[in-house]
Amino acid sequence: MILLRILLIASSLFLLLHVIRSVTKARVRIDDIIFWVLFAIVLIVLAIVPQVASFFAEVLHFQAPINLVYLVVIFLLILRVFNMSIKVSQLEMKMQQMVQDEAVKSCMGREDAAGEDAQASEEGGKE
Amino acid sequence: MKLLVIIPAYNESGSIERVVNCIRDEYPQYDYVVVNDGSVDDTAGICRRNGYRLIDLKTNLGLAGAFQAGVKYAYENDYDCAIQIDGDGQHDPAYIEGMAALMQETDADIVIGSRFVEKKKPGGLRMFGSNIIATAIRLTTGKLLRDPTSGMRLLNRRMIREFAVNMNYGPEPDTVSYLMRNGAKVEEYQVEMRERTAGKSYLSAWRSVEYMVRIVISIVLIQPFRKRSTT
Repeated sequence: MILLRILLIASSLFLLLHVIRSVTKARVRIDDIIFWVLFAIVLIVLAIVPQVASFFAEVLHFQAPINLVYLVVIFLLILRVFNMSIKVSQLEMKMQQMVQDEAVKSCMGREDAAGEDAQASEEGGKE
Repeated sequence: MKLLVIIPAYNESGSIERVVNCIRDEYPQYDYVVVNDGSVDDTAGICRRNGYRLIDLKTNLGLAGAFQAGVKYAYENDYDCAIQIDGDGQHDPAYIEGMAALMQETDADIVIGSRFVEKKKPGGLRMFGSNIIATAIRLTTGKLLRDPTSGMRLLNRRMIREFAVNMNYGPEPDTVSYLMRNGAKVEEYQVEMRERTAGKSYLSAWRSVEYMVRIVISIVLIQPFRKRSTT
């Protein structure tokens, strides 16, 4: 259990460091990494105060506290993946919208230009 | 001094006309630009019918993206300073003159329209969040910011450039704390703010809890490690 806790703390700290470094290098928006910071903090808390895991494991009739830790981690990650799906969908929708708007606008622009050209040559012909 | 008023507006059809007309008619010395943040109501239509200067974002980018669009406009058009005035009418443009004067006087990078320079902060739940953020900024920068959540911020030319081109420069208290830590001069100027008269705030009830968590984590755990690259 001690080794596991040390491992958990070390890896969480590494995660936290890595996450913060990616902001300092301007690779990610702060809004998108708040989750990872919270995630790392939860893992560190679970590692430093294993009583939390033990308590809930007992209340919920888990065989071992570690199972609860695994479950929490898996659950949070699944939640994250789901939210990412939503985000990707929204991004695709926004992109589709933008491409369509742009194309429709440029099509209308060409038609307007063509109409004016035709009118101009018509007027020119009359003179 | 060439000054641009940036008016971010998301679903502000109920108040945008009053806000912009006020600036256009009573303060013609300032230029303004409305940034419509992909509103689903008639905000963009109202602006077009009235002939307002409008940056019309086709999709919703959020306040940070909308504000940055306005700052980019200021940067491209070589403005000396730019101020955010919200589309809901809570910021009174009458204070712009005093804020700009303070900026010139003190050579500040940012002047914040603050509710609590001379007036005492009221207690209660609404100011609870403001107090937590102020404490977080105090802890990480050692400096006092009385009204960190005020959106009424005047940026000078250096700041316009920095806000226009960089990532993670949202118009939020965490950006201000980061800039304060990294040598930007921030001043506060006493203003009164009105209660919003129409429309919904960017921050609804649950959202404001999320907002707090985001801002506090950012100020305490992220911003202290950020280095300011541009000069």
